[in-house]
Amino acid sequence: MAKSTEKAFRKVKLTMKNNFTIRAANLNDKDFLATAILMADKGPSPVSSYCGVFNLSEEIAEEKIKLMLDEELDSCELSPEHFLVAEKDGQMAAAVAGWVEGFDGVASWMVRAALFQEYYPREALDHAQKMKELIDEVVVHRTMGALQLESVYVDPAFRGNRLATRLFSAHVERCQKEHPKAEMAELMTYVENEKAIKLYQNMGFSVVKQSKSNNPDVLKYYPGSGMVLMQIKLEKLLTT
Amino acid sequence: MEDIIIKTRDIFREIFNDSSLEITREMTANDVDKWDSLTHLTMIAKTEAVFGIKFKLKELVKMKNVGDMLDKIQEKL
Repeated sequence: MAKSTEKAFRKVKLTMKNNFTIRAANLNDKDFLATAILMADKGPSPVSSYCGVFNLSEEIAEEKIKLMLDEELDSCELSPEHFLVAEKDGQMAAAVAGWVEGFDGVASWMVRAALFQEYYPREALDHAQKMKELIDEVVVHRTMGALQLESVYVDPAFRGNRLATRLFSAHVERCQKEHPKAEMAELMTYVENEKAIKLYQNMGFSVVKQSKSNNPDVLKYYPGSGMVLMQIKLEKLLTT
Repeated sequence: MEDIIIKTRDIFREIFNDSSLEITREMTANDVDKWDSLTHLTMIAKTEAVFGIKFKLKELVKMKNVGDMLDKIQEKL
């Protein structure tokens, strides 16, 4: 490619990058948010824990997640108000949920458990109960008071635009206004999702906790055999 | 309230498999080793069955400690 053409190409790409709008999500975005929650959890795996642990099809899990989003509860990823989204020309491109763990005295797992109890069928909850030992091996607990970045999803058609980075930065700005005492941000992924781990390490995240199950069936129920909890100082995520 | 506390304590003892477990109003999930999302689901279901009540979703997510739970049970009886 000639230098002048390459320069012009870069300029166009830069303009395109700037055409993305970052905004707070609302209930009208729930279809995209439900997709984001499931796809982000799956990563490169064919299984989402929202389905596998509860023995639910993806279709049913997605339908139930939309009902949970309708509740507009605080303190976990199943809340539209905790999401920031990126869109371009009216097309949804990316989403990231963010909240400060336990900011109102209730841990996110408690809210999630209440929502599952309300919306998931009895048989699905019974299925999860039977897998308690496996769940205990995989689940890693979040840090109270830390900004949680969860359900990080960029639509494949819009990847390569640093949208996750921009959404992280926007979450930090929001967090610093609403929760000035928060110092750290953290996120989780599965141990097998090496691409995501590498990406987060390049952003400056460090691994602080890791789990691993040796159960040979773990990948039938979870997207990974363990979880990785990664942390970073809030200000390091600001892109200005 | 005394009766509610004793029945709730017995539910906790059964769920957490600890016959000497005592509950306090200030107790939270952070204070009990095995109190996680699945035991929480079992505990809520058991509490509803024992007292013949049903918690609303928004009530459940506002219970910050055992004291909040005891008050909510009393309110519903």
